[in-house]
Amino acid sequence: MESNGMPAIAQQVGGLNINDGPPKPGPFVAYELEPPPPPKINNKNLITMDVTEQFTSAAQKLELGELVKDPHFTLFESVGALEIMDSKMDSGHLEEGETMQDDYDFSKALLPEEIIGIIDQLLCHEMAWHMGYPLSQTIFTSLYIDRLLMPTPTSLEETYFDRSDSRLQKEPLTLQILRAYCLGLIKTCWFVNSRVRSEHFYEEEDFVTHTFNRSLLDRVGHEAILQLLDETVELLSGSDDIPREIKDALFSRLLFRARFLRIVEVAASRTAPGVKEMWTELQSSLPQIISSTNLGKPVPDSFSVKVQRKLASTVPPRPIVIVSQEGAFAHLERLCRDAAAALDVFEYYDSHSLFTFVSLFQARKPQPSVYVRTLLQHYLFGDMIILGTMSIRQVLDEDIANFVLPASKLLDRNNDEVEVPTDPRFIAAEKMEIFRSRAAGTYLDILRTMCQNRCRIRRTLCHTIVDWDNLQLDAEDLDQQLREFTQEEPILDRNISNEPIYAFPLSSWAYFYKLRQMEWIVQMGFELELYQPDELAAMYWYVQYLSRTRLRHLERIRTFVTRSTSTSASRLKDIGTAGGLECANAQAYNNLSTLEASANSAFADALSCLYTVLDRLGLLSKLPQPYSDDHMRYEVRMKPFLGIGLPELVPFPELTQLVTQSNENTLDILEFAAESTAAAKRALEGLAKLNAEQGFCRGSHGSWVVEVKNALKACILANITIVTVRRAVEAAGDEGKVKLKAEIPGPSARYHDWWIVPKVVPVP
Amino acid sequence: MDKAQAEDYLHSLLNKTLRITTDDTRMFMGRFRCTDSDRNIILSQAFEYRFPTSSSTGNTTSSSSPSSSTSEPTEATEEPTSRYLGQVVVPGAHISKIELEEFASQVKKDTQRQVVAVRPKEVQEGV
Repeated sequence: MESNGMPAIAQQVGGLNINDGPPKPGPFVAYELEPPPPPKINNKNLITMDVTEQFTSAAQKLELGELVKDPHFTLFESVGALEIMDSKMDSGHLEEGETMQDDYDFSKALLPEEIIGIIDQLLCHEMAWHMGYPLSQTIFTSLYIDRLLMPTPTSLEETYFDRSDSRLQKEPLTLQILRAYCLGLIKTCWFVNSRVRSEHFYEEEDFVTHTFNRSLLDRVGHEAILQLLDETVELLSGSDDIPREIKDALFSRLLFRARFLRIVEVAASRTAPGVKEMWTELQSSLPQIISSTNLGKPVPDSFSVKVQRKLASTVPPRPIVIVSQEGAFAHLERLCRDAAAALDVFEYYDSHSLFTFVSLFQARKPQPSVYVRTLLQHYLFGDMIILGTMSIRQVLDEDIANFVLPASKLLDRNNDEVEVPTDPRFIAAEKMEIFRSRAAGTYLDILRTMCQNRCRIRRTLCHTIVDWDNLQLDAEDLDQQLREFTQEEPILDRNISNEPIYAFPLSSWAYFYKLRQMEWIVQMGFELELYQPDELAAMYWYVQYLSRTRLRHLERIRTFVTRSTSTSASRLKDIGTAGGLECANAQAYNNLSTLEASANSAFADALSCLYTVLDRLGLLSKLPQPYSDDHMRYEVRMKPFLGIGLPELVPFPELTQLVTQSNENTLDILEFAAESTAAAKRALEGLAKLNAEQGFCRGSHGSWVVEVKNALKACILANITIVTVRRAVEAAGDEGKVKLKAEIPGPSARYHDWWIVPKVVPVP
Repeated sequence: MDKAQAEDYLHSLLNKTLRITTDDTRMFMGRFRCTDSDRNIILSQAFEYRFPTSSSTGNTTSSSSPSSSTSEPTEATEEPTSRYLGQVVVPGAHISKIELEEFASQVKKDTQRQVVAVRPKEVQEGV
């Protein structure tokens, strides 16, 4: 169908990509790749010999504990083996008197209320699958679903539940409703599964795409199923022996299923109109279903864990997953809302806004579900065309132009037209192309990484940070070579340096992104609760160190951008030209980033000081470290940065000194912390006032402001906390005990994930 | 058969395809990887085959679908239902039969050469 060839493309993109790649199946990967087809046991080229006697007598000669094994076969591998005849491990094991099948009568007529009950239970299972549970513990436990999938049907004709002779009579309406709904459900799963599989995700960690050798109606077209759903709706409306209320409930469920199926069929299209409305419509159809769940009558017999013994599965039998109806509907509602919001990504304004959009979208709480995240990935990167309309070069050039090289002849597309190899423009175009080919992957990896789950985002950022370092070095060479073409005049300022100072635009750009990524890595550690309370002072110190480095770097970029703009001012008199716009954007983006870095560094400085004081006062709990010490832990924390040339890693002894500030008076430190929160507050207030263009958050201004305001609230709380601590310290005097208690709030008790403000309360 | 011969014999079977029938009448087919003095056997890439019996099939396996179902083994040839399990360990106490599967052509060669127990590894893998 429409997703043919997608895995191949995802693979190509994967090539550009994230080190981790799709996980390789190892002994502990429970769901391996699709299993091979079972060999036929009656094959005339094969003969079998009964070796029971020989084998048994040979085995008896072995010593107790002696193993005969293949030299390549390891204990590690054997751990994954399923033990046959052990009912905990062997899903095929039958207890004494137990039968293989459930004796379920599929010809039995069901009450309309029971149909509602089964449908609602199936919806819970479907959402459980979306939440990450395997089909074998959810949808596949339904005997009706099992009946539809086995043997694999090739047309709707083969999907009747009742296969006895009585089926020649007309199928009862209730069973047709259930059948149409189930078919729609499975086909919906087929579309969702194909989408998820085509993108980068983590099998089992995020989602289980394994279908246990069952086909999700691959061979039945969705049109036929939609038609059956429509026909069933019509049939239902014509029937008058079902009470009104129940009839409405069945209606709303059939319509919901048809809608859901229609959406997942078009959701991956980057051009289909009205998809957003479809999601909104689906979401608004939910209350009707929710309000009628009480009419349903559960049919627990129609679900069985025994179905698992017929599934190709390398894992032990596992229980049916129970997700509450409230939980399931909440998940579905969020899915609709997030999927609709993801479509806003198509309203492209500029590369910086796109990054802001994706990062804020992924930071939603709870994080959008896997299906929505893979849709967003597809919108962004499908067919290697950004958002379906732009080349990677276009986005990359724009990002560079709107930051370090506004109105630069280096990015002039006309250079590509020059065919004389000796022409400087030809050489410049060639060098720029080298740069792009190196930078594109690393640059887009940020976006692609942000589409993963939160833990993986941090992990992958740690892996890819070294790419930025390498890119920066490569770019320095290219910057030097390109000077022949740009004829750049260096800045000669004896006050700063004896050497002439050049702009190094491309490596500046790479250095900036590297610094940003390093900040994210440390900050996401707060979000993911990686750090112990006694580490927080040092980690916040590191945030301010990185932010301050970014500030200085932004200052440098600004100097050169202003200089190049003023020299080319005559060319750019008219601000309306593309070049003029680039200059304005480059300034504006620099302003934004400067403001943001000031807020970060001031706030982080304040918190670092506050934690230092709390540590001094002995208010932070310290876990015993029987196998480690602070130094070793610091090395582990900083491992991703060990290979980074610039900014240099601060050695542990030096860091300890800078953080503990042992020669400073406690009250002075608190005084400084209070000043810092005030500075951070001013910067954050400045940010909150920016409009969408100035904040480079067009398309997501609303959530951006919320984000800034949350940081602002945290900042105000920090200030109050600092005052509380100062009063307590003053009250205690020189020798007295400070009457305070400090707690580190969990993620749900913070204003902002990245700013952990301790909760300090007085004790008597 | 002394101990050394016994070990040689078992070694010669490594990585060959075995069919092991358990006392609940299921059969497991897979690559022989490991065994011990209790005759516990580890098979990799194993499939489970369940032969239809009158008591356990119930109404479903024998009910044929309207089409000639191609993907699923059905009643006609008494093909058992099968599924993939991956790596399994079959406890010796539950084993009722062990069969060695070989290519018909290879067996002919072997009997010609009168090789019984130990053969060079290359020959086995050349199969």
